[in-house]
Amino acid sequence: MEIPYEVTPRRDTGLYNAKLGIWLFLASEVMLFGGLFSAYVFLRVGVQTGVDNPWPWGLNVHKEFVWLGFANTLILIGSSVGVVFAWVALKEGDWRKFQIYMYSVVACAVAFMCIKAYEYNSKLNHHHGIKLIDNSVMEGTIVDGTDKIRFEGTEVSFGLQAGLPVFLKGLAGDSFPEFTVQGDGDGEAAVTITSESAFNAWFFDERRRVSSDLIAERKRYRGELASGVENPTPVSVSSSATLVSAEPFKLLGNPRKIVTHSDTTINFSDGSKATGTLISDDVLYEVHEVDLQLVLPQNQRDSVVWDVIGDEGAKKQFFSEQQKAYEEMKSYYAKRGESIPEKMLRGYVINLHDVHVGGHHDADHGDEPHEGEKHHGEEVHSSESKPSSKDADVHTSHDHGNAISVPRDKIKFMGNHGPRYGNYYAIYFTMTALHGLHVIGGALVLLYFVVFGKKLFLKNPDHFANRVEVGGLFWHFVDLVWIFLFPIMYLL
Amino acid sequence: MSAVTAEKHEEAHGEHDHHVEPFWKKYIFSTDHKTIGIQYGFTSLVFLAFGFFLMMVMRWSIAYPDRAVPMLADWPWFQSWLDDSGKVTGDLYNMFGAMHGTIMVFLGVVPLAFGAFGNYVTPLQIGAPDMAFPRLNMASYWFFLIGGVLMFVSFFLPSGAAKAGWTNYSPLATTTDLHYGDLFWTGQTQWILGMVFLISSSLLGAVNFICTIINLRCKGMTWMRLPFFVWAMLVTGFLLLLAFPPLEVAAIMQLMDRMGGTSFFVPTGLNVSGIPFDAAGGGSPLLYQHLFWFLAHPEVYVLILPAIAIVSEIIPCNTRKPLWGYKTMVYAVMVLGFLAFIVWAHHMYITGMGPAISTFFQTTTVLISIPSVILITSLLISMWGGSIRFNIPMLFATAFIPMFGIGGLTGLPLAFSLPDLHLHDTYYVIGHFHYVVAPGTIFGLFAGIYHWFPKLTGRMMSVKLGHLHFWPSLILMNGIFAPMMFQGMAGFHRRAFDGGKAYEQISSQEFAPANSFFANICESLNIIQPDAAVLMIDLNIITSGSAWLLAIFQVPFIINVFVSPFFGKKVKNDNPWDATTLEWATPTPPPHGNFTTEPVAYRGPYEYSVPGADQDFTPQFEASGSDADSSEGEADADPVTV
Repeated sequence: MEIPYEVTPRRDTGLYNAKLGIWLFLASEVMLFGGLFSAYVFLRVGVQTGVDNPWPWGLNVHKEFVWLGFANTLILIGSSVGVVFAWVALKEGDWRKFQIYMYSVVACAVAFMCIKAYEYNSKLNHHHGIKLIDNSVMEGTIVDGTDKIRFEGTEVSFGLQAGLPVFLKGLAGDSFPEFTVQGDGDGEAAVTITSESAFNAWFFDERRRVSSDLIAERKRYRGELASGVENPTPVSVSSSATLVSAEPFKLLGNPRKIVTHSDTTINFSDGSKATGTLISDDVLYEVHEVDLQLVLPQNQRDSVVWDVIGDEGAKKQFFSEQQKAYEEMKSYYAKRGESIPEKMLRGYVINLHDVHVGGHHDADHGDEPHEGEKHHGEEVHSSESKPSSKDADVHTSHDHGNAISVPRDKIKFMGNHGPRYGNYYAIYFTMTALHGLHVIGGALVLLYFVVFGKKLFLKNPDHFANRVEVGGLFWHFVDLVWIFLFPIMYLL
Repeated sequence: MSAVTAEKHEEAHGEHDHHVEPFWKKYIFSTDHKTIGIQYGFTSLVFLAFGFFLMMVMRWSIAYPDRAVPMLADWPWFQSWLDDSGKVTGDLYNMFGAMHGTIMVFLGVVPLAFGAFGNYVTPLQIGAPDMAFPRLNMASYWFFLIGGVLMFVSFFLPSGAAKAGWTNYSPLATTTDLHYGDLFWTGQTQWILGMVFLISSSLLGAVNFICTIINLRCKGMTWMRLPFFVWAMLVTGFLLLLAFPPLEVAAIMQLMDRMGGTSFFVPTGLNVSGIPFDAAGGGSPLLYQHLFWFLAHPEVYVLILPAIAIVSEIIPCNTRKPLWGYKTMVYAVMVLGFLAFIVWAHHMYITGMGPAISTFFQTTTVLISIPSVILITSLLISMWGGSIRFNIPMLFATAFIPMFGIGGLTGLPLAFSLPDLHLHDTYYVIGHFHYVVAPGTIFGLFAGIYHWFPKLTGRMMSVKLGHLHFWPSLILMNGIFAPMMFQGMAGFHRRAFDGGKAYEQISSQEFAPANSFFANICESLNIIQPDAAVLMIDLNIITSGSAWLLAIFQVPFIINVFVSPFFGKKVKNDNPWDATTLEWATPTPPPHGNFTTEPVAYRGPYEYSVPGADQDFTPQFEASGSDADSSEGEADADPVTV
């Protein structure tokens, strides 16, 4: 028996199978994105002022990208319309017209993904933030590679019971270092390892040996226990290895995988350890903005961030702009006869026009005490700018002349504007990536129709039109999700 | 049997087998709903056995925390997880605990109930040739299998399988095993990936089921002529379809937290082992629980509805009476399906989400007991005054009712936030939940296997082995779960891997043992006042012993399943139980395409003992069963024209 209602709708439900199926599937997709949108609301509403990272305003984060996001919206809406026309063309039996519409829909999808890729690249590679130990935040760009801990190792030691040790990923030299395995003094010939594959083979061999040793030892121990030996020798198996290299080798340590490091050692999170000499662990950083909202107002002038930047001029500029923004806001509300609402007293970011390392400006401005700091404390507290930054022309210089050196022990958290950077970025990347996957999936299906569909079209045009209709319904859904994503991610 | 004769049966074989499909296409990558159902059935039974095995090891650690595990200590894999003297370590216990829950729920019961029975029986009962999307159906099974294999393989990673409980709460699950160099190949990450596959499988399955039931009903199969089984499958399908995506969201977000360093579920200022956790913070652990329980509560109904559905097919068939209150049951199951979505936070009373929210969820939770009670009461009344055939399926179906009843009633104290403060995370919760799913759902599933086995194989399962399976199982199930109720009320914590040594200490120091519920009972019954803490701990031995014995008494069932297809008693005709629903109109076993003639439903599904009929059953598919009914049946037999 053939499965009924594959092409023609069933009379009492009015639907053919695939159409019913896609509506049900879309219902589950609504729940999927609904879950994410709820998570967005939950996380945004749940931000505790002064404790959690403030939720940035999309407009603020995306100042360069709002128009791109808007363009993407138009592209997707246009492609949605295109799908409808393609379906109409099929119903009219015009294959050529169908092809034109469908290919332009796929082209729209490609354009969408290209714009997306440009945005991702810019966020991931050109925007970095550093949060210092007193919760002051600097925005800017980390000079390439200086977020890593640069180290020259001569010796590594690690356990043989878990997976491959972490230090392997940090090896940065041109060739794999020549390691000699430190013997445990039982007179065996020293093993030399010169390549990564040799290392892996050796490692897994050793791991197997350790586990079989352990089994034998435990068997002996249990046997002795069972036969009533008092205080049997405890189980002991040497389960770590030490490798030594004659030539020092370069190691770029990912700080997320490192527990502690000193001038001579690095301790990795999996318990492995490298010994040698530290080259440098300072982070070179070009500061563009300073954000002090998580610092209590009375502590802002003494914040660690000013020590790190070391530029009195920048500091002065920061507070004068803060003051200016406060005055503006005060007069704005005074005109309406209101006082400044509590939530507006919390500012966001002040752009520093220029940071001069070493503080050349000190002479000009002197270091006279900021008069009235004490009794104007209240004003200072409130004098932060409004969220939308007034000066979009962020100073960017491409030489590293202006990069400051940030000592690692002053850093609480650092990273690019990737998903790690905060919950806004996390949900932005998660949702747009998931949406992007839907775009790719949908585009592939539509492309399949137009490339391989001719045969079915000639055989059974209704069946083929049904397929396009179902694919088109999915495409409309993808478009609809973006229509929600654009405002909540870019504008609000 | 009148509609389908033995000759037609032969004919059907000839007709459908003349293009011989290669073995792999017929049995491995099959798109036939029946083969897929059997694949689901076998895979999930294997996983059920595996999950049971994990639990037996855990029970050893609880009953005899000071002794080495017997038999296992020499297995190389166990070696690395037991301690030097062969005792179960906390890590192993946590791993087995987490995976026992995961495997039993997602890889055992749901695939067996929904995947196996739903796949095999639903299209037959509505008179459809197959599922609406056979290839999608195959994809569901293979996604399920990939998910299952990932879960299973994760045991053999250096980090072992997931250890953060079957609920996988963040931030515990986010931070577990983070010190491993390769985060991707840790059990915790593989758990998430496995779940993504299982969720996708369930979603595709749900779409397929709903479509099939809505669009592929045969001629005359109007909504109120659907067997209750099909109704329950429809509701279950909607539960899966709408409840699983939020869990997928939670899984994606947790994966991002582990692999991408985000902090969706990581609060500000989190320390792990005394070291500040390197993440931006600002996330909400409560969000994970909301997303998780938004799935996991409807999931409980996904576990129980198919069992109720199977039982409500078996009871009318064996009492030779119509199902009492069929329409009421249909409406009740729909209400249940709706309410299932708004009770989830009763799992979270002690998270501090606030009394207002707790009150709302208490109310809905108590409301949902109404449709549940309607279902169970209808089944009970269905048996009233019938001349009951107590064959093996009926024994299991009968036992299901009180067992599920105990499970449901013990849930009431948990529904209220105040007693829940006392009972949360104790063995009481374990006992309550397992009464619902172990002697409840699993008995229902056993009943279904015994009931439909003749349709699958053409032979009956052995009755003697069936009795040997049923009676000990019934007693031992209670031996396992009844003591847990007492332990729980005495405050025995569910995660004590050392069998409650800590509990003993605390009870003797801080609380007078006389305060415990069980001790109070002993006192009021004039039993010698025992040291309640010691007594509670001794109950562990009863529980564990029952569990191991229960494993032994599953052997008759396994033998029965594998031997009966070859040596069982042959069925006399295609309808050995004299049942009324459409699956019994097919040849035995049903060929590809199921029906040899176009099936038509002439009447409701449970026309047993119709007054004036010459048999005590009037099948849906027989035009001339009862004169009174047939004319009406003919009249609206054709709601659709193709």
